[in-house]
Amino acid sequence: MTHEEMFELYELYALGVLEEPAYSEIYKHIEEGCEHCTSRVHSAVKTTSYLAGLAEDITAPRNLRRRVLASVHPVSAPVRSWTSALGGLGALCLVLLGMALWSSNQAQRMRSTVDALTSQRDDLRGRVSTLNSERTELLRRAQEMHAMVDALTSQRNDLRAQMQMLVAERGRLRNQRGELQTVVNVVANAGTRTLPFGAANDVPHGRVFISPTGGVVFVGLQLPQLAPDRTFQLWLVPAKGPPRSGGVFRPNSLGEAIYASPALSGNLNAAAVAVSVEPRQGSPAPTTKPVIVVPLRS
Amino acid sequence: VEIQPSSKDRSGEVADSDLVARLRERDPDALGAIYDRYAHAAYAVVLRITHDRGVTEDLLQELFIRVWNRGREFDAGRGALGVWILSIARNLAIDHVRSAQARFTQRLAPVEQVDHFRPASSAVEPESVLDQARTVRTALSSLTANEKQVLELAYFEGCSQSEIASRIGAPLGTVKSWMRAALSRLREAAKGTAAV
Repeated sequence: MTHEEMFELYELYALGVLEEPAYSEIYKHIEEGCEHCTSRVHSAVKTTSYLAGLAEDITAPRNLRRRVLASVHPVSAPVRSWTSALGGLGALCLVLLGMALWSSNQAQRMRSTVDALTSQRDDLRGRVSTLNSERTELLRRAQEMHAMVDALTSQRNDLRAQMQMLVAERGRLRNQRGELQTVVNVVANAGTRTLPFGAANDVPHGRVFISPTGGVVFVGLQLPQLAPDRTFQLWLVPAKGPPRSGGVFRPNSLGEAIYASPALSGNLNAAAVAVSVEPRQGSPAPTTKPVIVVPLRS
Repeated sequence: VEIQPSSKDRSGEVADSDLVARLRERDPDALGAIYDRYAHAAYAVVLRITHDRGVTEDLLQELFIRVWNRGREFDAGRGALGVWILSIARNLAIDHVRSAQARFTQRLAPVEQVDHFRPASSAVEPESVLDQARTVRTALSSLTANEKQVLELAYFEGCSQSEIASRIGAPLGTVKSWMRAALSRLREAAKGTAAV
């Protein structure tokens, strides 16, 4: 790059905003002692310094002068004579005296501050102690609450178990009610036939009711006690063919039982009703000899 | 900047060279006089760059401490004190604002590199730099808005022409054209004041 080509770049260089590679070229010229470039750049520095005039009119704060001068004056002021030295010494003594008084005041202020802080500290300690007591009390209450919650949870679980039992009982009673309703329907029917069985009171005896719609009700007394894994099973025995199950039932502790078999039209064709002892869940066909047989046809 | 040199300066009783000579003798009053002469201009430039009065005051203190400490090196017969002070003030401010950017810090060297105490011609009179700055401000009022903008971005924010183009969203060639015209006007204005 020639000096002519650099002509318009010196101000940018002086402002520090000239980019590469022009910057390095001028820099190198100056470093190598190029009088032309040095002179041009110096001129550019001066010219660009005039741009300070573009700044707005603002006056520096009055106290800034004191601050600036104070930063250099104390360590640099020359002592020009014994008189001024003595004056300076006197002034220094006054300053030291002032500083001592100031320090005393400062110390007094510091003591006051320390006292105030100590008081605040003690107050805070008292508050912390109170808070600790409150925290302990809250923890104790929390433990009580936990115990109450545990007790209530246990009670709730018990109540749930009782409710489940009651629901089961309700289901069982509903079934009984249904059976009794069936019994009433069968017995109250005007066309129902009543067939007694068993002659003496010390042997199994009772009645069999069969309605015109096929409903069968078995009423038995003095029935034999059954083993826990056994049950009575009602059979409807046709004139021909295998007997058909009419359901299972168990007597109470007195040997009494009332059992209503579902109403089926096929029941009307049965020749007899029989009862046998079967396994608890019942059997597809009798496995024992019937303990009761009630002929339905004379 | 409102340039307000002291009455003694206006009458020419105390030249920069005299103040610098006393500064070399470690005379605090000389520093006070130099402060009175250039502080307002330097303060205005630094505040325009930093936009922070606290920082500006810190930088101005640093500036005059530098003047005090380097007074012994100052060749009063060959230097322009005002140019140096205003240039260093600007450099300190931009360096502060852009301290994380090594590029600018590195390139602020020109003022030091060419030896700010070595004038291109005769020594500058005490108030001439400030008077010329005031005259140049008037002369630059005829610049277009774009020309003035690129000049201010370069001077007050230290932006290169590429940075200016990116900042204002103008083509680099256009920015160079505006900058060329603005600098040409600046040179003419500077010559005009020198002639006066």
